[in-house]
Amino acid sequence: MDTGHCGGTSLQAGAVPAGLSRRGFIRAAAGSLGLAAAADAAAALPGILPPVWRQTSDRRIRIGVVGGRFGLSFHWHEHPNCTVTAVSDLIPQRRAALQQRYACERAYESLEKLVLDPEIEAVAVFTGAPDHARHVLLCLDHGKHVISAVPACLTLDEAAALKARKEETGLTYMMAETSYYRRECMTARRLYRDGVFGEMVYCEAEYYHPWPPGSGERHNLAFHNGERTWRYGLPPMLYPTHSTAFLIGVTKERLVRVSCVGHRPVGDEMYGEAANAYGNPFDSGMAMFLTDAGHPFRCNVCWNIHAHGERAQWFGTKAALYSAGSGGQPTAVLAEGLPRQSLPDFGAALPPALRVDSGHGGSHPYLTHEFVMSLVEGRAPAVDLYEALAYTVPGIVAHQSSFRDGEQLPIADFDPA
Amino acid sequence: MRAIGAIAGVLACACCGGDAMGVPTIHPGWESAGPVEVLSRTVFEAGDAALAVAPAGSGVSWRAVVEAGPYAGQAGIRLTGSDATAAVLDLAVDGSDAGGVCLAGARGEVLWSDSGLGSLLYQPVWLEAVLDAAAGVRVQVLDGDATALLAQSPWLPVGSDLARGIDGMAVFTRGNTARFCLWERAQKPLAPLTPDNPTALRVPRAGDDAWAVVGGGAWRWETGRREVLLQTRPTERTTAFMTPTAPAEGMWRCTIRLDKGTCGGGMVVHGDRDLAQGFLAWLGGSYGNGRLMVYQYPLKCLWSGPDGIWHWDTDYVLEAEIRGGTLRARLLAADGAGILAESPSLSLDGETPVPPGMIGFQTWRGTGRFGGFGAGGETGPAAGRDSAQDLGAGWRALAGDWRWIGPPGQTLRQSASEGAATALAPMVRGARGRFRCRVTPAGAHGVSLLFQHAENGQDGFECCLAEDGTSLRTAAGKVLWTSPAVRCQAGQERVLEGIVATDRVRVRVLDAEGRSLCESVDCYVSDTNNERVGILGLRCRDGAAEFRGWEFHGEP
Repeated sequence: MDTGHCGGTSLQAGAVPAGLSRRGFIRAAAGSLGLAAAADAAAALPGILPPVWRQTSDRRIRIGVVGGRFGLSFHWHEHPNCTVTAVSDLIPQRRAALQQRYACERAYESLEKLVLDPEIEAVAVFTGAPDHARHVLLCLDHGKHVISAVPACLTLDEAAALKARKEETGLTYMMAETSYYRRECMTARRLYRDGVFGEMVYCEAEYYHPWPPGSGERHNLAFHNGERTWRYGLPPMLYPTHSTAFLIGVTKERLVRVSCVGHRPVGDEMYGEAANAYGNPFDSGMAMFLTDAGHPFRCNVCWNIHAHGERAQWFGTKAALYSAGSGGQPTAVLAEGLPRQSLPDFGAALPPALRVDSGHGGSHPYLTHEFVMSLVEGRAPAVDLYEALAYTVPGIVAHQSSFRDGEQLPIADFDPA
Repeated sequence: MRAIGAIAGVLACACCGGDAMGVPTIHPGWESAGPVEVLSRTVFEAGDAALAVAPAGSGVSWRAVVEAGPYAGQAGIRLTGSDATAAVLDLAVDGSDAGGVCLAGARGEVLWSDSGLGSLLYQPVWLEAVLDAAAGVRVQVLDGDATALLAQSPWLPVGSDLARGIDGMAVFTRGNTARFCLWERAQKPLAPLTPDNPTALRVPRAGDDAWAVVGGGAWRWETGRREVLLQTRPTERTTAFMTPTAPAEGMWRCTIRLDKGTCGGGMVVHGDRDLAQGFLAWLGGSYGNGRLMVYQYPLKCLWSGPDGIWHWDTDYVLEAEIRGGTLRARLLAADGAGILAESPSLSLDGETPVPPGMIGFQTWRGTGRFGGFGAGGETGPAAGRDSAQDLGAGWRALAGDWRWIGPPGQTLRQSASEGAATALAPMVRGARGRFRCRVTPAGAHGVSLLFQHAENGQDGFECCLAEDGTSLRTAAGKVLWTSPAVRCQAGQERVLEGIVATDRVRVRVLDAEGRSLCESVDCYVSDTNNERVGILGLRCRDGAAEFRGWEFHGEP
């Protein structure tokens, strides 16, 4: 079952105007009629959890966790429907940290060995970004369901390969996009579904994570034991999903065109067309997208400005929602008849052991729960492969645009035919 | 989503509203999804939209989980008679600005309400009605886990015929969207009737003229002891006044804590209900990293200190003093031991004399808690004022025997032989960056660097060097990482580091020459750490140690 992408509407063939996808036509028509809720229902929007958690199954998913850095921050061992069967990292210290974190004795020296374990049903891939596609394909090839850290991939060829393999195998893929389960994004999703925004005319999203030259953060992220890591010179627009999720995770629109301007830092040895493995001269990217419903969307990813955080602001015809920002501005919901207030706490939807704060806006327990329950319930997860590629691929094209002085480029569609 | 034939427990619908573009629905405007069966009213309907359900079980209690949507209307459970959707009793939460819960009769007459419950946007709550042929009906609201009582009525006489005539249940909306689940009947109510229930603790209560609230919000006592006053609803500006008139001169003091996101808060002296007179000792400026200020009503700033003084989720003592025609405000640490900010003596000679008025507590765009005053109207001394020992050079000892070796500010020795000894340096503070100290154990079984430590001790981290190894712990004691590689040994100087990088923290232990001996992995923690300013502290367990070289080096 692929709940994210069954239209289920009664539109007649030929009713979709030229230039808009069927999904975009539904969204545009619904928005113009003030029927956002209906359009969301038509798209069978997943990602809205039941109001309260109840254990509905005794089944326990047997998972392998790979990547003893970011992979330490999830809650697999605390979920009542999950068991950590094995862990793996190439670096012994990180492998030991995974064993300690998940109280798991079984450890493998590599993912390649872990996927041979027949007990493991699913693999949590929290390896470096350039390896995600290759590692996910390896897992799918061995019959394992996969949850992967972001981004899904770094090239369009990888995107195509992921789509082909996922559809061949029928296995479950989920991308662990944290912004999707930030409280602001969850609230925006609910308000949008309930029609509070009216037409979502415009959204701005940004991911600011400075690691300037000489900083401990650069030392920590870009190097390991003196060697460069995959983050060294990483093009910001190849890491767009913390931003793009804020729009796509709310409206399910698709980004169809982009113009991106990059910033070329002067005097920073990490950036330059011959300075890193990516041939990347940009430390920041500011992209302007157009959605398949005709809405503009601004998206920034910056590695060296004096600001911090992952946030968005959503502007509809009837309401606006602002995430708190590193400048001190508070979260605000502005809508007629809806008082300014703090955001709802959706924690009652989680098993009690998972009702804890976490990095990335408290999103990690939700990601854990959604992946586990999608397997238990035999349904597609909220951020399935099609959503993941819709978050990821626009950044790949934006990066291309930044090399062409912001030329507007079309974005390939990886949704099912 | 399931079609109507698959829905168990749904009986009938009394509503109108359009179908959602061909989506499978159980009735127009209603959807159902599982595996926890959830009914959703997805279409806004200004009028009534009710759907009869068949609750499992039997007994005196009728209840369901209700999650109200974002509109200014109602969502709740309806107890019915022979007509499966016609109301006999409606118990609903209200999505309007005021929020609250309301029990209404068949003609819509309000039988009981509690507006102090506040807005429940997308918050699942249990709504429960308990029927008794003799006593009538009582209703209550609990959180989604049915563990916390949020509101409760007394027994309400409704007549034995009415109570006996109820034999069905529906869920309904009126001017809102909503979701419903877990509808059921039971013999035992979710909570017994209790005199100190949240409704009874609201401020002000009906008939209680000791308090007056101006500007809305949701004020209530934290417990039945009526010592700490909470303002729990984010509101533009709300003030809770103790209505007795205060003396013309005196010192007034309260504890104050502003919750995350709150833009400001403070204490009003000699105020009135029109907010037209009096003074305001105020925590304002930058949200969550602000300043002490003094205002006079109508709002005019008399004095403003520097930013960086108060922080969210941190307890303080706030003082205002009027004597001899002058006004002074002061902000102290929670234990009352250190003055964090103090206004000069502000002369009131040039001002129009302010008649004595009320003492009040105020929040602006947010929520907070106030205490340290008597419920009868007199503000009193803050608790624990002298519980910490001032060591000088910006240090405070919370426990243990701490003394300077040589000039103050260079080397601290802790000599107590039993228990945990803690000293804090509130002036050594920061968010992202590297906290560090040097330590030489001299009999201690464990030594620690506290970093990004909240002054109230409720947040922060600890780099702990013990006899069984090194660990990274939270202030609550949760172990994030351990390693047996480096242990606490008498006479061996070590450098302890705590490194805060966005929502990741890690610790490192170095030898006296700066060579790294062990380093933890990055441990992901709450990203509230990105901006949360904490202080440096030292701790030793069961013995002596000497500390020196403490510092914080910030990161951009």
